[in-house]
Amino acid sequence: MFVSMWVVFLLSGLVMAIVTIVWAIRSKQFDDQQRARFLPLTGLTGRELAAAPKKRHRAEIVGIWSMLIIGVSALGACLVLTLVVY
Amino acid sequence: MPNVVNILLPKEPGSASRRFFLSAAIWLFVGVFVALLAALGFVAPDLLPAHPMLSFGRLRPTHINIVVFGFLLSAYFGGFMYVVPKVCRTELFAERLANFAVWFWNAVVLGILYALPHGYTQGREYAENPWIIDIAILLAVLVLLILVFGTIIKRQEKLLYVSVWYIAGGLMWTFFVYAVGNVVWEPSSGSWTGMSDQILLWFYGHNVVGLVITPQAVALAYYILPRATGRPLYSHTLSLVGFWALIVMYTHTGTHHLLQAPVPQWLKVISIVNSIALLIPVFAFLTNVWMTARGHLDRVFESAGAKFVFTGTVWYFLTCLQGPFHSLPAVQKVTHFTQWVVAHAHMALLGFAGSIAIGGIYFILPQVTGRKLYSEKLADYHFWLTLVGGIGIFISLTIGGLLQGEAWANGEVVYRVLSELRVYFIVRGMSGVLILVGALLFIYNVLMTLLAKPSTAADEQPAEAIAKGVTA
Ligand code: HEM
Repeated sequence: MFVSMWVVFLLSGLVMAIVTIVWAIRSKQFDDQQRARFLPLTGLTGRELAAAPKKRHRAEIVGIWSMLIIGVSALGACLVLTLVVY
Repeated sequence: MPNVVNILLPKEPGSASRRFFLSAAIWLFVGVFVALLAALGFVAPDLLPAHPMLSFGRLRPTHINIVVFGFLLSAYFGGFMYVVPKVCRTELFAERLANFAVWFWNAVVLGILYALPHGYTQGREYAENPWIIDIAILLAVLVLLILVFGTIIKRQEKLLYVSVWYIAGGLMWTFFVYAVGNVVWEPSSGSWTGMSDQILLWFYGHNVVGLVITPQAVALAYYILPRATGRPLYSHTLSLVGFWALIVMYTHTGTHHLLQAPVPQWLKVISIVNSIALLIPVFAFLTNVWMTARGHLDRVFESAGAKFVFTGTVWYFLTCLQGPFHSLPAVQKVTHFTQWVVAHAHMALLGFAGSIAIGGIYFILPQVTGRKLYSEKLADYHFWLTLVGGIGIFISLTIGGLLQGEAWANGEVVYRVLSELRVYFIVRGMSGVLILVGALLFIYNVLMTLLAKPSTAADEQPAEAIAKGVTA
């Protein structure tokens, strides 16, 4: 039962993926990729597109870099501990 | 009578998004409040009365299910009800039905809030909800699928933008993964037996993060970051490669949660290899959104919403560096069964998925209300409270986890280690307070935006005609 459930589940996933890809190719979803890049900008005026930022945002940059440094240091600390324990 | 119907289920475009957003903000507060009670138990175990509802075994699943189903998914559903029609150049299919989904979904989350603290649970991690709630969730997802596919079918724009791929795909996976993972054809237990059940459960557990939550968060980021910077997406082709790679890689990784369990070795190997291969879809996404925002970060940080979303992508980067790393058996020898995993879970669900959910609400709310955000300043405070709180939780649990891992590797007993962890649990609790205060500001800001008077026509979104000139 367990294995047959998996096989049915796997096959139905595969069939759905294949059907979707075939549909996408036939309806030319992969053709005009250049224009697709612009779709989220629909409705923005030229002025909004070209708007210059009102100020520099250094605090956010510092905040995000701190987060990155802390995150990578955590990985480093764990790597050292793993090597020691191993 | 018709008046009541119009109030409960209005046809007005954007109404369902607005209601989902308000629900998400409220559920965030409730979910974090429950978490804080649990965190308090680690600092002062005797402080709360010895009531079963306040035991960790009930608080934890309540917290998780409320933040996942109440906060994250409500925010994403409200988001897609705006994004899908926008990029498809049409209106949402059946706004009334969407409003029905809002009520139904909130009833489901209320059901969770009743069932889990009262001990009605199926006792499987991330799949605790009783059968009746499982069925209600599946029905709700079916309604959402009708809304998304109905909108796709009546679209004016032939091309489907990558966000639509992720949203539609994500909802389909949600339906199948939820049904199979909760073994809904076994209502009494909602499970198989033995090791087979654990393999199935972690297939489900990892897909909840990878195929239910991640696609919706990624979809929002793919819409918001180009829009906030005024730049087209760096590469649409790359985004679709990431989409298909996610499907191929994610489904085989669940067993990396069971490396310490008697699972067949070949399955463990597959899960580890795929965990590392996940870097392909992850970096397809990150390269794409970061290259889009490159040189325009000041514009991103100008909007509270986009700022949250961008920060969410950085948390995603860290989460997905850490993920493959602690999928390695040698690393898990140190980290598994420790607070390290809890740190990873918070970096993922609060840092990545939560920041994007909050950012999505701040960014889209003005579009669906036709009003400016009530206070960008309050949103900014919220940003810093969440960032500092998130980092606090991450650091305290990571250090606590490594201490546990090191001590246990040296054969130290649990009660000796526990006392060393106290200070980290205090920092974790205090960080939680910051997040809770942020959640309060969030509710206030969302509510005041909804209650404010509509802005003048000049503030509102410009006509489609101008866009045609831009995209041509
Ligand atoms: C490359 C991507 C990722 C990989 C390879 C990965 C890997 C892992 C592994 C191996 C664990 C189990 C650790 C252990 O028990 O020792 C884990 C736990 C977890 N991951 Fe990830 N992760 C990834 C990304 C994510 C993302 C994007 C999310 C959320 C959106 C997430 C959420 C979680 C959660 C909530 C847990 C805790 C599960 C528990 O309660 O035991 N992960 N991850």
